[in-house]
Amino acid sequence: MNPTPLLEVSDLRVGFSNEEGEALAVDGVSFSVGAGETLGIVGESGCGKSVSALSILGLVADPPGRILPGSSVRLRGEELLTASPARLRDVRGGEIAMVFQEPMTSLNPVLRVGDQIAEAVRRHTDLRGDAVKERVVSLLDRVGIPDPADRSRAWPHQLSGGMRQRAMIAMALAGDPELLIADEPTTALDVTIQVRILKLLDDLRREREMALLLITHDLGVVAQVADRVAVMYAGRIVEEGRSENLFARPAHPYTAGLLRSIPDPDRPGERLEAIPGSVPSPHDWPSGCRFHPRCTVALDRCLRDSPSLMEAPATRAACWLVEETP
Amino acid sequence: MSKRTVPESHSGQPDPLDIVFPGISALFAGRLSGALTLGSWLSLLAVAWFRRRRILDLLAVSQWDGILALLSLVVLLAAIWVAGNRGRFRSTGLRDPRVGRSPMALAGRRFRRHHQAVLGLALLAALTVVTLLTPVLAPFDPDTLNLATGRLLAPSAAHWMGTDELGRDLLSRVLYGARISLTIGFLAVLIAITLGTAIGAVAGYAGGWTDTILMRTVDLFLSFPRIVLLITVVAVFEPSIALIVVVLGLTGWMGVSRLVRGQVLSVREREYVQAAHALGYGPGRVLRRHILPNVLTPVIVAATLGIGNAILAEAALSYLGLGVQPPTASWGNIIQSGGDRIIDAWWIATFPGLAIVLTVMSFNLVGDGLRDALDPRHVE
Amino acid sequence: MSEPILRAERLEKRYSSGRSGPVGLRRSVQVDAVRGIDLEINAGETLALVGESGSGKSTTGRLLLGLEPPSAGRVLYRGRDLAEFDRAAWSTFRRRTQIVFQDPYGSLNPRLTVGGMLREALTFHGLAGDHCTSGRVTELLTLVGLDPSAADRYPHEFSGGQRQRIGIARALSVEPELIVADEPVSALDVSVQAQVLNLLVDLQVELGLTYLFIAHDLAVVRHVADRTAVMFEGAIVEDGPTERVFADPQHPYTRELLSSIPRPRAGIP
Repeated sequence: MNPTPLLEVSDLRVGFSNEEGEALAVDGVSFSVGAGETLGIVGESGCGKSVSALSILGLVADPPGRILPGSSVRLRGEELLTASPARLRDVRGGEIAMVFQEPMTSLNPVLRVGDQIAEAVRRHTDLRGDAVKERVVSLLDRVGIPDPADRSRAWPHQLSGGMRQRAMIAMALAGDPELLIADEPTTALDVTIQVRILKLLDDLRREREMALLLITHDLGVVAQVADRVAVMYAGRIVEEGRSENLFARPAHPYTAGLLRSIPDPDRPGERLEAIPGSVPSPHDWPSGCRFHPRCTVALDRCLRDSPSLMEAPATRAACWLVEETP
Repeated sequence: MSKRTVPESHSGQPDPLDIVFPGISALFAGRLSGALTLGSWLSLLAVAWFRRRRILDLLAVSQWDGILALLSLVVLLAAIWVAGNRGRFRSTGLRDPRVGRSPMALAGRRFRRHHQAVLGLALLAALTVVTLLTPVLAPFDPDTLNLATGRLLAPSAAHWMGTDELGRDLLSRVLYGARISLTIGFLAVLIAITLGTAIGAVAGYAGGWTDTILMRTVDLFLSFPRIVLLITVVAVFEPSIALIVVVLGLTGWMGVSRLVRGQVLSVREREYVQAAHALGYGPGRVLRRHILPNVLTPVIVAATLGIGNAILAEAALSYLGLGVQPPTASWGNIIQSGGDRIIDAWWIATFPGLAIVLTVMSFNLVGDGLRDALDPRHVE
Repeated sequence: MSEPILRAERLEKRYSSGRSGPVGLRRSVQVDAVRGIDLEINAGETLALVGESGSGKSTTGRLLLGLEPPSAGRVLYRGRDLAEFDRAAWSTFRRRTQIVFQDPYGSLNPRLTVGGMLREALTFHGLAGDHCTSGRVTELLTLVGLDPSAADRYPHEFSGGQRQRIGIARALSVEPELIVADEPVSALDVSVQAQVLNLLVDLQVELGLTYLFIAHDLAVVRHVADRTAVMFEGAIVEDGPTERVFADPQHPYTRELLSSIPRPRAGIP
């Protein structure tokens, strides 16, 4: 593992205020992404994964969100949370780029696709004039859009969902970023397109030695492309490790439960093991281990003490069972 | 986690002081509602005391007007008392206030956070109370002339707003004028909303030719300039309050119908409407129970703002001499009579003008507050 | 051989949406959502209708339930053409067939309490006298795994999974024999999907229901469906017993779909 990871997030805490007061959407999350590797952050809705990703680039609206002191996001050692607005603007789209879930709302519907990408190119490179156009076409080509020169003059609504997502990726690549954050990039797309987009992201990563931070709720997506995986629940990371290890020998009951509740194509018709209960909202987080009310193997200790990540046989998991089991 | 608890004294019971001074415990708890409740209670009691002779006179003569005013006074006092003492009436055991909160109740909570809107609502509430109690409050009869000694008197202790050119007390005339303005405003908007909602809902739900015909009718009506039409109609027929209400109503429904139609078009496609069809409900029931309640929120906002507009339109008409006719007092015609004398008798035109400004502004504040509170984005 | 409950014969649905082109050359844009499909659903089985967005599967579901009229072809309920239904026939049909929607957030009327919504259905169809409705409401809520106190709450007080259960309770309230489930779990979190799927399967066994299960997730489909029909751009490209379709897909599109199933098992892509 790289001694200085490309991106290091430590003890990130983000609070959100609404009518009922302030609650922590992200409560002490730490992870790192090394150069050229893919980290997948997996979790269900409300676990805080998107907020964590947005915090990296300082995109959390304040109010109602607030990054609490004590949090740290370091890019090659440089602290981003206290960076000047000018520096942050350089980083966004420059060293770190982001791709979002809904391509239709992330692309400006009144500007041609090529113009939007050109804007990004001009902002983050020294190219001007015709060189910009060439770069736009080459980017569109690289992301697999056929007839790129033609398509660069298209309006967003003329492209299909998959094409728009590719255009978004092209826009993100304009500044030649070292880290690409993809927040649910395939959720809105059809299954057959999903596979292709993920493959595209993976290929690009290898080609450009770019790191990829993939946020998703879909374990299958993560299994396809991630080197390492972190599982989030109720604002915390409950398990992390190398992807093949995590899927083969999950240590945390939540991870295991998630894997068991997915219909297994090899064992059709078997009753699914559902995790009882539902995800709590940030205002109602349980004491101790936040998963304990839904955990079938909870111990007494789990109600009182909140576990931090501990070494398990194949991964690291925040679960007292790891400690108890020899 | 509830923040709304029964106001408690140190012994844990509702404060006995509330019986005499409703809302006083909430006031001690630092809540604005306590101040408003207690303030209203004390104000009404002061009115009842200082105008006690007038009240007795009204009872003796038993005018319909006076009885209404008296009844309103009693009802208002009772309502304030209950409001200040509601802790007393709650059964033991606090219900989780978050359970069973309808979307309307949630909107009510959001509304209360908007201080300007609450101010507007308070002003309107005060105005309504004043209007109901006018016979009790008005110091003089609005129609009594005093040509000998009382003409064009400046505001003084005897006449808080001065007198007009015929010696009539201006304050009383402004008070009675408030009744006219508010009545016309409410009734006109009632007609406009009813008509507009019906037409818009039918057009939006039925679609096709019905929709086209109805909307083109709306366009037709929209092409008439409202004030010019009002003037023309009033010139042809005798000006009267009923006429003004009808004309204002018939010229104000078009915006509402478009609004409603747009909302119905979007709600119609929602899945719970499809589910209603799948359960076999007929179009009437679907419209009534499932579509309209979800469509009304912008209509409420439009209604509130519309009342302000109607009041302004009536004032304009009366100013032109085509609305409420003298000697009946209306804010518009008082301004008209004071217009020429704005230099030497500034009070005649100024006070009714201020009244209009305050009233319309209050409606606008409330309308804005409602719009934010009822924003469907919040209902999740 | 008994008559299938629902049957589609050469069903077609066209939408003309808007106009494209400058004023003088306006043409109606026609979209063929469903292009001449034949389908059969037999009593007691679960038929899955699989496809991606734009395949026409949701439209087919609505056509089969008579929520929209077809442009061509016919839908037969127990041998009778929907187009020839009178009021009484429609009333019966509406009771015997129901639908559960995908979007837990748009499928419930925000202004009605859960109990109010269920009571309306019960009294409209005369399934419970006014005094018995609360009992039946409690029964329905318990049947879908919700606490009876839910009856006094509004939809916005519930989570996505719970709202889906409420939607299922609504469908069950009229005691149907067939339920069209239009992507019932697609919008739910993974851990909740399993709960709702289990519930649907249990209800089928308990109440003898027939399902038309519309989905895009093949893993889910394989888990619940007896037969599977694959739709692509408005047409059915493959149709047969689920196991056969998965083990030996005939159509290239089916094969492509199958190869896209994400498999979070031991890191095998």
